[in-house]
Order: sequence, then C-alpha cells, then structure tokens
Amino acid sequence: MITGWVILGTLGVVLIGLVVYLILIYNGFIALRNNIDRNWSNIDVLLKQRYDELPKLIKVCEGYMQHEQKTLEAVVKARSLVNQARTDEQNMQAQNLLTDTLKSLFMVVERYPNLKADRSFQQLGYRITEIEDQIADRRELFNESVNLYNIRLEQFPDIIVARGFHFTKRKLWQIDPDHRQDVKVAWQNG
Amino acid sequence: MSALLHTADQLIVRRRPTFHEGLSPLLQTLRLEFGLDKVSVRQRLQGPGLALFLQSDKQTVARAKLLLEEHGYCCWQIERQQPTVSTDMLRSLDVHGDRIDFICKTQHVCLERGASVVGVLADLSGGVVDKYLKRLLAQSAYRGAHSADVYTREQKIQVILQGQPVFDFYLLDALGNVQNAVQAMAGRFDVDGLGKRASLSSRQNLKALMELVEDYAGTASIDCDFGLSSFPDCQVEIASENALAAVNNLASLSCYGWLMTQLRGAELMAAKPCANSTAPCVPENGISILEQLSQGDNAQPDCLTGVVSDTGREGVSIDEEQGDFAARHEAQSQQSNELPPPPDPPQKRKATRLSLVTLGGLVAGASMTAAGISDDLLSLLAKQGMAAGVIPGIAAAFLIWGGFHYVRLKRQVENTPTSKVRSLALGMVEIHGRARRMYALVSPMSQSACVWYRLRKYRKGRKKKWRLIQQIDSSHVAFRLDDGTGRIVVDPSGATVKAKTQLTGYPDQFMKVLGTFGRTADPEEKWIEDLIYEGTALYVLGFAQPASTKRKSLKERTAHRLRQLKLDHRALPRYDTDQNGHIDATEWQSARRDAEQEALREQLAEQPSRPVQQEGVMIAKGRERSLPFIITEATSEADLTRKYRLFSISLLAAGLVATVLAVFKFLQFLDSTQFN
Repeated sequence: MITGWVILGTLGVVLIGLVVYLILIYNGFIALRNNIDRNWSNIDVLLKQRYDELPKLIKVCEGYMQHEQKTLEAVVKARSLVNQARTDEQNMQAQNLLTDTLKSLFMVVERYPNLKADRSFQQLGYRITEIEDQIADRRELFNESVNLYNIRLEQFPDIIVARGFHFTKRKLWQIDPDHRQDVKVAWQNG
Repeated sequence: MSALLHTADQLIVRRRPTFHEGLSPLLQTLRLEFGLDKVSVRQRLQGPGLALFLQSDKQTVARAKLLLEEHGYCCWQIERQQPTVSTDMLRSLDVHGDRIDFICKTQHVCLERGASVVGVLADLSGGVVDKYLKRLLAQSAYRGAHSADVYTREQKIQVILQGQPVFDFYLLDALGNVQNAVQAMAGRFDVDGLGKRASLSSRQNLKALMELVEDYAGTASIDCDFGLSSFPDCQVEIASENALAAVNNLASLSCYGWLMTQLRGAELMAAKPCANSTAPCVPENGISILEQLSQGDNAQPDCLTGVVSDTGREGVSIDEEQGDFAARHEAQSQQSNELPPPPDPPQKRKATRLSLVTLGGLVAGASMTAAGISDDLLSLLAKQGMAAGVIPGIAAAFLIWGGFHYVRLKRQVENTPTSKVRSLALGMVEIHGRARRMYALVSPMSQSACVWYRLRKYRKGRKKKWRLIQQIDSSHVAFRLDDGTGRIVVDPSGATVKAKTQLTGYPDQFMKVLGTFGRTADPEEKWIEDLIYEGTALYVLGFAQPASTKRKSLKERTAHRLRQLKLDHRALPRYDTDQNGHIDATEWQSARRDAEQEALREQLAEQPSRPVQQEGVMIAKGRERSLPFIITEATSEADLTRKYRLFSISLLAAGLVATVLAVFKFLQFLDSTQFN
C-alpha cells in the first residue's frame, strides 16, 4: 500500500516538475521572440540615425561634386524609398539599396581630394561609417537571435510547446542576391 | 633571556623605500657575519620610516652599525628606555617674540626660541598605514619592485591631516634630555594664539602649530612615520577594525615619541665630538639628520657623506648608483600611464528588509528561547521532523528549486546572442572579451594586478574546523571589457563572479612580502583569495544601461571651492573687509557668492564632448532581481552551459530522491500514527 502511494507521490512531483519545465520553455520562447523584435528595433534606431545624417552629407558633397549629380540623386532616391517603405520586406530592400548607394558615393569621393579634405565631410563620413559598422553588427545580432529562436522551434522537447502554442519561424535579414556576386574591378591602363 | 634583552642595546635603522643594488651583497654579509636571515633583514632595511634592526650586546650592535653605515644607512645605537615624561594636552598658546607659552591641562610649558624640539605628527585612525599600503601596491603593480618612495613628506602630512591627526612634541635640553612633552589634537586647543596662521580648518590649525614650533625651535625634527615604522611596541591599529584603536594608538604614540627623543639624544651625543671637527653632524640650519633623511633618502646629510667617503670607494659608488636609480625612477614615473587608485568600498548599510526565511528563523529562535527549549528538545524535533518526512521534504523543495534555477540560467545563457561592444544596445547583453583595469586594483594577498578579487579569512573553530570569519571583495571597483571592437565598463557589484584562480595563503605570508606592519603570523588563520587577473578572457551576461554621469553639480563645485578657500591663508584675508582678523557671516556670504560664480563659470566652460557610444553605456546588475548577472572565466559559452546542465541534473536528481524519501517517511509516519 505504502509503495503505491510513494510511486503516486513521486509521479505527482515529477508531473509538477514537467509542468514547471514546460512553463520555462514557453517563457523562453516569449523571451526569444521579444529579443528578436527588440534587436530589429535596435537596428531601426541606427537606420534612423543614418537617415538623419544623410541630408547633411549630401549638402556638403553638392558643393564639390557638380559632375556627380547622378550619384547624389541615387542616394536621395534611396533615402526616399526608405521613407516610403510600408512592410518589413520593403524596408529591408530600401535599406540595402541605401547602403549600396552610399558605398558608391564614398567610392566616387576618392576623385575629389578637396572634398576628402573638408572637415565637415570627414566628420560626417566618419559618423556614417561608424553607424554602418554598428548596423552591420546589429544585423548579425538580429540574425543570431532569429537563428536561436528557429533552432529552439525544431528542438525536442521545445517543439511540443512551439506546436502547441503556434510559435512560427522568423526570417533572417537577407541581402539582395545581386550583392553576393564578386565585385568587378577594372584597372585602367596608363 | 628577558633580562638580557632589557639590558641589550638596540640598533635602529632608517629604512630605504626602494631596492638598491648594494642591498644583495649587504644581505649576504649580514648573513655570514651575524647569521641574520635574509628575508627578515630585507624587511628591516627596505620600506618606509625606521625599523628596529637588531637587539644584542653593545659590541655586536656596534659592529652591525658600522657595517650598515658603510652601506649608506643611517643608524642609531641606543639603550631603550621607558618613557619618564608623559605628554600634556594643549589647551591654548601665547606667542611672544622670544618664546611660546603653551597652556596645557596640568602645567604651562615654555618653548624658548632656539630650543631643541622633537615632534611626531601622527594619525590615530591608522589610515596612513592603509593609504600607504594601497599606494605601495598600486606602484608595485605598475613600476615593479624598484618604484620610488610612495609619499613625499608633504604628501604624508596631507594624508595624516585627513585622518585623526595629533601632534606630540618634546622639548629637549642641550644634552638631549626631555624636559616637557605636549600633545596637541586638532580642534582641541584655542587657536587665537596662532594669530594670522589660524584658519577655519582645525586640521590646518594643527599644521600651523607644527610650523610655528618648527619656526621657534633651533633644531626641530618632526617625524611623520608613526605607523609606517616597524617597532614591536609602537604598532598602529586601524580604527575601522577596532573600536579601541585610537586609545591603543595613543599609547603606541607615546612610546614612539619617546623613541624619537632617544634617537635625537643619540644624535646630540654623537654631535659633541664632531663639534670640533670640520664636518658637524648637526647642520647649522637647525634641521637634524632625522629630519633631513625623512625628507628624502637620496639627500645624504653632510656628516654621513663624510663617514661614507672615509670608508673607501664602495661608499662613493653607492651614492652614484642611488643617483642613477632616482633618475630612472623619475623617468619611469613620467612614462608610466598611472591608473587612479581604486575607490573606497561603500559604507555597509544595515539591511532593513528581512527575507521571509530570516524572519521565520528569528521568530522561531525567539519563541524557542522564550520557551526555554533545550538542545535535547531540538534534537528530538529534528528526529521527529526526519521521521515525518518534513526535513527531506524541505530539502527536496530547495534542491528542486536550485535545479530549476540552473535550468533557467542555462536557457538564458543559450538564448542570449553575443553582442559586440561597438554596437551594444541597452538591455540584457552577453559579451566575450578581455578584462582591463580601470583602477590600479591589486589583490590584497598575492598583490597581483587584477580586475576583481575576493578574500575570505578563515579561523579554526572549536572543533579545529575552518570557519569563515570575514570576506572582502572588490565588487565596488569597476573594470573594462575589451572585445576588440571597443571597451565597455563593467560594474561587478551584485554579480555572480566565477574566478578560476584561487590562492591559499596565511597572514604572515602577506606580511613577509609587504614588510612588517606590526602583525605576527597566526597559524590559526587561513586566507583564500579568488581573483581574476588583468587580461583574462571573460564571459559577461548582464544588463547594459546608461552609465551614470560623473559631472559635478554646481552645489558640489561650490562646496569644493569653499573648502579650498578655507585652507588658503592668502585668499581668506581678501574677504576680511573690516580687517579684524575674523571672517564674519556677511564676509563669508560674499566669499560664498564669489565661489558660486567661479563654480558656474567652471561648469559652463566644461562643454561635454560627444562621447563614443560605448562610453555612455555600462554593464551592471539589472533593476529586476530575477535578471542574471554573471561574470565568469569561461573558455566558451558551451563550457558554461555544460556546467549549468550538470548542476541542474544533479540537483533535480537529488531533489527527486529527497522527494521519494519524504513521501515514504510521511506515509510511514501516517501509518504509525493511525496504528497508535
């Protein structure tokens, strides 16, 4: 009789333990999901900072780069696309485009030594490069948190909780497939 | 044996603060000729202030004295006496052109101009020893064993004045015998007699009194090494460790002061034969050898240089080497990028919030005491608790709770992605990096440059088992974490710190390295030190939050300026508009207005430059208590999670066993109760 009660009592404690464990898993999913959202928002903070710095940069460049209107217009256009983006997908694409146009701008600047020597341009250039580095780091962090979440979704015993509470996969930050190609460098002779 | 010691002569030596190349051969000679142990002799020759070097018969002491003098040390051979004159507390003073009348508690003492005076400026709180030690450790860590003296005389005086300063001075006759002794404490005497030297600060008034005595005395030697010198019966206790420290230190001070008068007497006796020679021992400027040497060990008095040069070429070479060392140390100190000393630990506040467990324990303890429950009853209760399954049940609850705690911790570590310092965002973050010091923190036992330490002192208890008696750590000292992209401040207070390095030592081991500070070895005590060395790879999981701004407020700046003004004898009379020698309330108001204006100007002038992002952020304990804050020396995150998994599985398994036992015992207990 006692043995039966002991087994029952032990099973009861194990059951409680399992419930607590499942609660921990559920809370873990919630924390992970919120971490992803937070990391996404943290990228947005930096993107907004970059967005705000751009008009100053363009204004400084305009004075020196009369012959590079196309490049400057491309930056302005990319910036406006960021503003017009309605979905995360569109926003991601617009941000990627803006990053590319900025890279082109900094490449073109090499041809303008006076602009490169300008103190305001140096400061803005440094600031934007700093923000770009931070954006890259935070994208990595975002992708890492998404990856952790997605791994958990497929792991046992987490998969039981994930299926039961309809936790779904999240998308990683992806760049435009065109940018995976190698950069073509053309050397001028003479 | 003790009778022999009472009649024996003592050799007192003024130690040198730094290592010099002549020390090693000297240690060898002392070992061969006198059989003295190298380690203890080194302690007596290297360090601050004076030290009792030898206690033996006259001939042996004289031989040792000669040898030390040949190596450029200043020594005194004396027969130690007990104090015969006690100090009298100063109440007020009356300054005349040719003398100063000191009105003391029991008598009037007169200091004639040109008299011989020996004085000791001391800190009764023992803080000077503590501060000296900290500075020494910081210097040793940065400049190595060859660092220069840590304090100049002026700095020493400043440090003493910041503590609990007292100035004892002894009036000597021509033969060096003590006529009177006066003791002056800051704020305990009427400062009117100081005239223009008086200020609003009681400590500065004490300093002014000391300067006045120096001015009037023909030969004054003021010593500031009380506590730093090494004498068995002149030890200093630290006020924070012992409530009676100040009283005990006063007794030590009177012994020390008396010893200083004996040394002065020995100097005067030695000066007599010199008086007819061309090299007088007591210089005409009235400052004694004691004084000259305490101002800097590189300044050899004339008479000593004479002695050294007479002994041969070795003496001259020592002087040259010393010059080289001084220059090297100066260059080193200029080159080295000094870190600031670590901040003082915060004052411990009594916890007002009692946990439920503590409260329950207290209530149970109080009720048991009130009911007069004996030990037998307690053991009976324990037996019953065990039989009824209550104790295994409680143990099971704690074990399971601990197991789930580690599960949660493991999942938290796994679920937090690693951030880079360069792009750190606020909130829970995980960082891998190398520890860098922000302050010149050195571990107390092993004296290693570290970013964090914890020292636990154990003492053998009744059953010869080690019992923890005290624990100190450096959790109040922040450090930086460098991950290659930037550096961030980590405030370790409230963190769970896991250090891999653990050292065991004993109190005497510590003292042997640092020099004797008047403590002796205690085999009943053991120290265990955990530390994280500078440069160690760390894993930190904590809450990134805005760093607190260190800019001073306007009120703080004004208060600082007013404090400075109080100490400035030249600036204060500017506000004494009625020229009556006192600053009244209206005049003080005007001084306050000026200080406020200056503080405001200073604040406006400080334009905060745009900080780098990580400079405005620090990692610390989160506001929510449930958020973990872990600092650990882990090779990888996987190692850490593996450890947590092991802990959690072990605890949960133990909890399960305890549960089975508790249920079994409980059912047995129910069974037996029903049967009865």
